[in-house]
Amino acid sequence: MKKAKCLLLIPLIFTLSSCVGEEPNDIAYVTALGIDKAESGYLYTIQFAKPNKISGGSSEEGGSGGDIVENISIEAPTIYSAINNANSIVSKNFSMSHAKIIVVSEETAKEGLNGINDTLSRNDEIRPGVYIAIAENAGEYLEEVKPVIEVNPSKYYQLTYENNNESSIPKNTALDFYFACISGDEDCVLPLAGVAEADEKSETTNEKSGSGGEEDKSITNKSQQEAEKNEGGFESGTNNKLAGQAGVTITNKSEAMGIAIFKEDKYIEKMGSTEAEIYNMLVGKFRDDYLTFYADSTPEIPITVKTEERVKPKYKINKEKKEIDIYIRLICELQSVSEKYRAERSIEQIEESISQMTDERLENFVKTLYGELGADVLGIKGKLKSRFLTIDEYEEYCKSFKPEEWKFNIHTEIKMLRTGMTYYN
Amino acid sequence: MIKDMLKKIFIYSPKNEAERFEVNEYNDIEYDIREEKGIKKAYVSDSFDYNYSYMKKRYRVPDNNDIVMRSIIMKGNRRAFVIFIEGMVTTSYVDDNIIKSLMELPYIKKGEEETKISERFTTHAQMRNANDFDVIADDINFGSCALFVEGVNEAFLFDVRGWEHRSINKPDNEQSIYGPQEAFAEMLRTNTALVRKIVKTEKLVALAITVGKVSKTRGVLLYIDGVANKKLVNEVKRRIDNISVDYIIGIEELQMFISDRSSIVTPQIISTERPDRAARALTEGRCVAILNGSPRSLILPSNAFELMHVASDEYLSVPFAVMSRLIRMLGMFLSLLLPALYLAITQFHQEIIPTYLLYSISAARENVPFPSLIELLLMDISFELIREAGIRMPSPIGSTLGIVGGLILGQAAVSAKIVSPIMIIVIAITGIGSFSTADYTLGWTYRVLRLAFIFLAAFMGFYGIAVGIVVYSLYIGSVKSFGVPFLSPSLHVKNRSVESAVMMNSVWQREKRPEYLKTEDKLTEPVISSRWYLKNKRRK
Amino acid sequence: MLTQKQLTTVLVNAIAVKMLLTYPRVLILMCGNAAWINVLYCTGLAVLLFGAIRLAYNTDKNIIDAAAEAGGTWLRITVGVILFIIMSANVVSLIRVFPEIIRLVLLQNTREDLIGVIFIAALIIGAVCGIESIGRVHEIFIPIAGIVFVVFLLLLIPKYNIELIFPIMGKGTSDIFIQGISGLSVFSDIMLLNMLISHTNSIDNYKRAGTKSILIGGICAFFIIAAYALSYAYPGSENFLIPIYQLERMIYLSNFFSRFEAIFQFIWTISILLYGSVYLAVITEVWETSFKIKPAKINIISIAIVLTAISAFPDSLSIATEWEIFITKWIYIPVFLLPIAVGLLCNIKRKKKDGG
Repeated sequence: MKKAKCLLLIPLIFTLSSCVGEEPNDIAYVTALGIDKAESGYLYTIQFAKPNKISGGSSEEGGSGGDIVENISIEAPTIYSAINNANSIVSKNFSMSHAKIIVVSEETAKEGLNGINDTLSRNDEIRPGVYIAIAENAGEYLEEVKPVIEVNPSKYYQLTYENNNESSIPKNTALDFYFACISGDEDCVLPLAGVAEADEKSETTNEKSGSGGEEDKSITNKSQQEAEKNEGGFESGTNNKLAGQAGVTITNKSEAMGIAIFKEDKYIEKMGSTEAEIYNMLVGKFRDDYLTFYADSTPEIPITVKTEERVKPKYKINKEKKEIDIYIRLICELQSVSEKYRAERSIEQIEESISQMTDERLENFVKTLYGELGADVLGIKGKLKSRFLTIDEYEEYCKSFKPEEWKFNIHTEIKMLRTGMTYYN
Repeated sequence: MIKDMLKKIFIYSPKNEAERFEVNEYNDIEYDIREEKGIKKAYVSDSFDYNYSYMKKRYRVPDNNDIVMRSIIMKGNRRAFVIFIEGMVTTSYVDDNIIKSLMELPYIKKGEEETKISERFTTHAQMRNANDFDVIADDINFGSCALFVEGVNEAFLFDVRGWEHRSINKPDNEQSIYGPQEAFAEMLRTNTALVRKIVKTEKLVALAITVGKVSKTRGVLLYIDGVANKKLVNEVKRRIDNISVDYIIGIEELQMFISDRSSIVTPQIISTERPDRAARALTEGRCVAILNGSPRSLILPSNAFELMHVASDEYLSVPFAVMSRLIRMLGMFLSLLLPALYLAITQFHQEIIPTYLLYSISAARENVPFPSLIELLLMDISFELIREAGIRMPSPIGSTLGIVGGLILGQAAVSAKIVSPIMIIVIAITGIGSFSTADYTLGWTYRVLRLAFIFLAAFMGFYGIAVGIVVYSLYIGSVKSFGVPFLSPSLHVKNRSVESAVMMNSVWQREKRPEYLKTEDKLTEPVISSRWYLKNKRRK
Repeated sequence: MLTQKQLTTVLVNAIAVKMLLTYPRVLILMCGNAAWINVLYCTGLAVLLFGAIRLAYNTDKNIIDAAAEAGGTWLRITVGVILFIIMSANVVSLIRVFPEIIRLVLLQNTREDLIGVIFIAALIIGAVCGIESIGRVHEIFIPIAGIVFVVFLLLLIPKYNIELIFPIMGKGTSDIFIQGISGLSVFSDIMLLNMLISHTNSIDNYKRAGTKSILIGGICAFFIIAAYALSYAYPGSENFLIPIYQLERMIYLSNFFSRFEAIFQFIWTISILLYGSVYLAVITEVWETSFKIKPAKINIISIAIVLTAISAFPDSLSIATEWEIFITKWIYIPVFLLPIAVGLLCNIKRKKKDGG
């Protein structure tokens, strides 16, 4: 009996000591973090969720309406000193383990992101699957995030950045960025994020008509008109949009579109959504997407095909001549073409012309990257690793690697497998 | 009436006898059966009067109302008397077989009484002679009828036992859809007969055991000679014989006496109320103990995995039996660890939870005033109270109580914001898992250990639970049940063997007995086969 | 009495557990991303060396009793002390490093000395229960841990990138094969077999269990290192203290099934606790046999206190990891040479007795 009494005392002692865990409702969960440049240090915008608004509290109704996230901004030299300050402002303690995205402003990224890399690798709260996005102004982007069709903010970020059916952003996470910086095998690209600017006039007309019938949702987005139109056959007629240049509904103005190109850990250039598709194609992450072309013989009739890349592209590298041949294989399915044009009779012609147009556009892109910017985005150095026996030889070679000297030949093979549910004779 | 009350309060009246009565030490005990050691042993004598007066005094006859002493005068004016306990004998046997045949006995010469009475004339089946009054009294107490004849210095004991008892019913606590539907009852001979009619061999030995100095409870220890290890049988017998206690009423007390370690952690002996399970254990080489007055039997030795087996595993084909075992083990695992895992995850490891679920949990817990640990203990204890009350309720109300307890209290507690809804789900699943535990004592073990795991999880999360699991398993690993280690069978199935932990061999592959029992005969039978199958196809 | 299967599982656990802590990082520091070649090479070497031990060591007694038979009291005490030093080197680094790892990974807000106290208490209780009980629990638990391990490797398949394993010779052949001989320290737990031989029935168990466990343990170690080298690019992979934790964080089945590292750590914690109990029980037995002390359960507590005191010497985790690197450089030498030496001496002594 004495043994039982002693055994009963021990758990009581332990629970009375302060070694008890934290309740889940005593923690504030950060969903996103924004980093801007400030006069001294950085301006951190911390966005955290309000669980009561999301799931409606202890009554069993769902929450709707009202803000589901809250933002606070703090100036501090590093991420955790910002969180330290924020802990004293907000009543609950912050936890970064459910953060989905870190948004960095372009100014900060130009100076180099090695500090963030270090924090991300040392700290175990921030997960390696976090996305890093570049925006013009990170705080503004985070404040404009107002999800309309989701109740859960982290689901909004998940669907925007991880959604498999979109190819307008690269899907590189913080872990990929870390390895690209440390190993030097390749240079990383990251998604672009931005905010749509609405035209002033259209806002006032909405106010007038807001009391009467429906609101006029077709805003004329000023920035949309500034977007480049694609020249040439590849994705012709569509705009090469950066983030913030697409037309969206009024409430949620935040968007993610385009790529930001890095050289080692410094940001150098941003490119639009078409370039993002091209990048995904070259790397092998291109999923179902709809591309628009013109047929050679009928330049006014757009052809839209649903393309899929089932096999990763093959790289044939000739180290002495510094030439690379890239073989891409795309499988297409015809989606829309004019009635008058009998596409079924001239499928091979269409395939040839599409592949020529794609080749041209892809080669332009690669020339810009390697020739002008000097960023080894496709990881050529990494693919040359197998030619060396030891790491020392490889590292010596890397010191003398110059991206401008390499020549690229791209060979796309297009196969039109299906023409949809009809077959016009 | 008011007059009486006022009288009682204001006027003195002396106490009556009931109010004056007190229980004091009583020092004049004349005859105490517990001090029998000092008393000389008494033997049956030739004289009728001596025997009659001795038995009258011994059994306190005018006071003791259900003792019957019937005098008979046989032919030749020989006096005899019969003594038995009414209600414990079948009176028709006493009337027809003993008294009637005695009265019809012809004249007996002196010196031939024994043979003539016992061997030639008395028509009852079981009979023996005895000289010692202690032995005679023991037998009379257990339902025999004793015959004292003048001139014979021995008494004749007839076994005419027969009292009202429960008939054989369906098993209450070990139900199975397939298989025999009989259960043990309280009569010893009925129970042994139930086992014997399954294992019909003369090698099945039923050793007599008696426990309890005053209660003298009889029992048997069954084993199959030539199969069970003799050392095991001797060890069991040694332990049972060396129990020194006055009363043993149920076989569960015997179980507690002969277990290796009767601590809170785990039961080491299985008790079952199905004779088919007992018979199967006998064929594997174990011993079975049955006690008079208890509807359960003990199977010795046993091991940890057999606490999770039920009878229906043998009557289903192997995939279904394995699936039912896995579901049962999942239920047991949940009943032990689910509250602790929930506490550990929400308090220490919030990063495991998917984000949306975490928001619901946070929002649900926002209005609850108690910390998680207290909330969990509250709900756990109320569930145990409901369960305990449900056992004692008369059956029409019992089911209603379940509904009341489950739905209304749970729902009311959530609406009153005392507990969060997720806690109700956790406790409900834990309760359902604990009902799926096969062995009753094991269910109790898990209920106690669940509290220990809850405290460990509240203190140190997953690390505490891991420490608890390691310590518990190592402790169980060091327990032995009659020399057989408690964790004997391994998880993978041995080739062609009967033993099973989780997976089982098919019926035609069970030729060898369990290795850890060290039986004398290794094989249950030669290669098992369905011969009709052999004639058509070649077996692998 | 331990059966052959129980011995094998005890040793497989002991070898594989090393790879769950900081050891893979040591290997990568030595050889670069070609550490998998090193592991295969060391496994082959270990099998050959163990074959030599099998030929030399022919007695039924444990190594200390054999030393007593061969050389008398002084040899017994010497061998006992050497064994004690080797085994404590392993356990002391475990006692220092493991609570820190738990603090990093599972319980971020608890004091690491409190975690250490509970760790030692669990080891003591486990060692008090006895070596047979530990063997039986290993027999049941290690296959389950093996299945979890295989599932873990399979879940990582989308993350493997074959290009990361090039350049194929890593830091160079001399680093892999000549200086990489200290990779044999993974198998330094073979010492346990020489003490556990007195708990088994026959010497065949010892021989077969040793070979099997070296092969299985080596294959497990190979898979862990290969998975790590295939997923993490070379200069970055030197920087992480707990490689297997980083691998667990990479698992991504869908958004729902992507946060499983605490569950895997839970299983590895059970393995490490079992490993520690075996070591503590065997170290106590070493001490008792070499100094002829009566076996009593209280000795376990005193030795645990001594080991905890030694483990408190390094001030911080970085110093402790450097101690570990230092230990791996020399520990494999006595592990493989001592049984051969003692076995040969024993044989010589027996021949003298029989002959003379």
